[in-house]
Amino acid sequence: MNPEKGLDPAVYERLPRPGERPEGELDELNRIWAAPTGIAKLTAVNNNYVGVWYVATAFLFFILAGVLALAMRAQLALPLQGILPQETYNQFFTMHGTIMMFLFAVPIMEALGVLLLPQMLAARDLPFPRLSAYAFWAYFVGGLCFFASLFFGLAPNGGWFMYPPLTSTTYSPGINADFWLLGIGFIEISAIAGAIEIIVGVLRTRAPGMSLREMPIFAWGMLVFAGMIVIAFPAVILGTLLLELERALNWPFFDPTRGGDPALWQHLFWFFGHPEVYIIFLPASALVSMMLPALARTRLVGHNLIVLAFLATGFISFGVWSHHMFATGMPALSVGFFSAASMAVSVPAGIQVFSWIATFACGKPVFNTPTLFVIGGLVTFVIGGLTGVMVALVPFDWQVHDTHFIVAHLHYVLIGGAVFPLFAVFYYWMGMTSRRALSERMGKWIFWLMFLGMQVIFLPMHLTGLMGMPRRVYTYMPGRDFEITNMISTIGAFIFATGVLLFVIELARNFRFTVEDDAGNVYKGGTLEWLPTGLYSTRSIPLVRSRYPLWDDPNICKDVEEGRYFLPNAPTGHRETLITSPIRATPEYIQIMPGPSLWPFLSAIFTAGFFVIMTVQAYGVAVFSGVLAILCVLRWMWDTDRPVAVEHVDIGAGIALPTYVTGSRTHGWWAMIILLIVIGMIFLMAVFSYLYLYGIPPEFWIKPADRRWLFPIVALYALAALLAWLGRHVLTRKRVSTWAPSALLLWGMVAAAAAFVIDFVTWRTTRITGETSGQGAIVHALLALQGCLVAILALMGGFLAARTARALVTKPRNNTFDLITLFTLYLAGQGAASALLTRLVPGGL
Amino acid sequence: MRSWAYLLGGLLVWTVHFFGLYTASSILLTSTTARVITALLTIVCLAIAGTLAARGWAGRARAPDEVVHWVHTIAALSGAIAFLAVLWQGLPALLI
Ligand code: HEM
Repeated sequence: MNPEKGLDPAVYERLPRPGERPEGELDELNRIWAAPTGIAKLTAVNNNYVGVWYVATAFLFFILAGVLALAMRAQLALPLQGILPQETYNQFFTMHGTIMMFLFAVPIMEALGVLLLPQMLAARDLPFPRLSAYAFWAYFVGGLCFFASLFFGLAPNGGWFMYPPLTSTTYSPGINADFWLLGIGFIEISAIAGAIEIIVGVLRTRAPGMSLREMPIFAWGMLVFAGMIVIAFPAVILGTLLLELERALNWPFFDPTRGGDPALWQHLFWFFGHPEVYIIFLPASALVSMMLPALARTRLVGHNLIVLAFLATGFISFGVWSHHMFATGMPALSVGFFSAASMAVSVPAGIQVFSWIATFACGKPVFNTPTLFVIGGLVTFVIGGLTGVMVALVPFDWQVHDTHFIVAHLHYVLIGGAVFPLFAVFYYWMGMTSRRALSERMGKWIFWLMFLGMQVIFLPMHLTGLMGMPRRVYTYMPGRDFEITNMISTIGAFIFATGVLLFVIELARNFRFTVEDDAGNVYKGGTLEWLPTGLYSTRSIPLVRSRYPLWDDPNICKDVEEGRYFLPNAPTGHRETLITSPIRATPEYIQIMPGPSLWPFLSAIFTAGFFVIMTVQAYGVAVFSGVLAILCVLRWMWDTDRPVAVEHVDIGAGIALPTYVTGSRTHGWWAMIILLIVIGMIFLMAVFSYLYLYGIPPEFWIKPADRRWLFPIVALYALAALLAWLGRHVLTRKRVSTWAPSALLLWGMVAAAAAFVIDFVTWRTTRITGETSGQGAIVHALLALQGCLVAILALMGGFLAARTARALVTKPRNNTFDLITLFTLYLAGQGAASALLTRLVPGGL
Repeated sequence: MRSWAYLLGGLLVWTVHFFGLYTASSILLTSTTARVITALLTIVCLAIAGTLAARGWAGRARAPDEVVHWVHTIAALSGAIAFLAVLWQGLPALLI
């Protein structure tokens, strides 16, 4: 077992290079990486800008959702209080939960990834800066519109997990539920975009020598986080699609009277929803593990165990979703299995907690503000973890299900596991983006107010729950003993809010955004983000030899700043970064990176517009916005994948790298594979739904479309795959015309489209429509998914034809061609699988 | 790809195991057949996880450099944690 070729040991001898760098190199870097000014700054894509905007927006949503929480606590302070009427209370808890989970907790982790990862990995930027900008703007615009629904009484009101039948048209006739279902569409897209960016960034843009062994723990956390998004989010994407289809077109996926099943929604939602909790917790705990060594002034104890804990959490968190469904009546053995898994999941979290305690014990911690927040978070999280093990015990869970005990538990975990660590993060990394650090004295006040406030709100709430007060109920009758604990909780909420308010004032006093003259490494961290940086990130990209390079090599800052390491200049005259191998971080090629652009910005606005306008059922306008979004994306793509004049560059230490590379080792290929995994997961979830509905009420299932059509369908898909593969093969041949490879691929697309049309039309000739039964609904959902892919393929076909006409499809290899081939191959596979499943499984085998 | 499969081998076994158990108990409910399948799957997964852990641990001694040593360490640890987890996860079949 010897993974990858490592760096030539001689390279270690040659670096840092002695001597002065030529004049003008730094000016050139500054010029190339400069962000636009004035209003054009909105088109900036540098991670320093996008990252800070992203964090700020997520924090804004935290405040907004917090205000809703205060209003709810005011309502619950006394029995029969009249501050929030029932309907408004329903909208408030739904919006509070949804915003906290979807618009604050997940995005802020991605935002911190965008802000911190390039610096920690000493990359010039993440590999797809425009994608980060797109993800941010779609989230910003869409999120604000989503929040605004509250002002029109249109906000969703079915709780943050939106169970049908409550959210079906029968019980939720207005458009409130649609706001949720479509409103989080753009968040799903932006989360997936961010995840692709982060996975490729962490695995391919690390500084040379930073093997997986030396990789910072935050990069590990983000890698697992993004991997989990890729696997988990498709479940909620499919779930929201199905529920929206049920509401809009009356397709009965969740209606048991017509062969649907509401429990299917719960499976789909929680297959996403439980990992979601870890999606929030993992990066936060990774940030704690990054800060601890500096705060405790020693190295992290149990680094490898923490990496293992992350990986283990990433896997096992997909095995516990049904513990949210203990009350639905699953088979006793299943319940037992899920209960066991739910207890096991606390082990990786425990490993981290013990590592942190050991690090504190081994070091000499200074009790400054971030340390206090870390310790406060740890204590709070452990309490939440313990009540978590309590509710993993099924009989106990039956007692407290849907009571305020659960509200207390989930807030302990989320606030202890994510919010307190985030405040530590704000203090610790403020020096990286602000001219002034935050005040320590004020910080301690803020911590104690928030920490005590938190305990005062939620500790008594366990009792409120044990005494039987249900959650999501806007008031209670006097004389049921709920008064005292509720009043205490409300007082706590205002104490907590005072802490947050002081923090906002503190930001106004001391936060001054900057890239160049920042306050710096106030807490004396040892990792690469504390290297001196500009908008180009570090002047030269260091050779990494340890986990704490700044502690182990006192000269590294100076050497990096003087350009003595890799790529101290911009040899191609473009924005560029080093792409390295995934395990050992050996330099492989130079990636040419895109600069500021209006197109990601516009496509994001129109994407958000599509989803938001769709909710108010102005379908024509929504489709128009969608078309504009697609056009903007195509325009943005048009500039990419162009070889530059300089074919090879010397990055220093005798290493020359190519500037244009194709095939399976490129960052574009990786991104496409991840995207296909996402699409594949959506398909897999649809297959699960299909089998689930078939298994639960089989009496609703009837004979499927004629099986004899399977032969032409599968044969055409196979032909499509063959032609695509042939096209790519022919591209490498010298003596073929410019059009031959593209023509083969385009014919392949035609074959795929024909296969889909046959599949669709032959289903339409049966008695089964989307409305008939669960079978009809899920078959049509599978057809719709395939139809979407075929439509995307058609767009790709047009794009490829246009690029071929402009001679942009380079020979013998071309990335655009490769990626479209990959997509076609996948589509053919999914189409054939879908046709076989829907025609063979109902009684056919 | 092979390196990643090796690195994450134990965790993959654990995942196959719990999904296997869920499928068995969902389709066959709380029956003797479900219990027998659980027992068989548990024994097979324990054997694989144990082997992975042992191989990883042994590989550490032969590692040519620190990175390979690290890969073996993580592979060994993930095999070990999977071994314990699979054992734990299979127990309900004996109790319920
Ligand atoms: C200290 C600040 C907070 C207070 C005072 C607070 C208060 C509340 C209240 C009163 C409810 C509704 C209880 C009910 O009637 O069922 C609630 C629900 C909820 N909160 Fe918070 N919350 C706070 C912070 C957070 C944070 C930071 C998060 C997540 C990161 C969060 C996530 C949720 C979720 C997911 C729900 C469930 C919503 C639902 O039932 O659909 N909260 N919170």
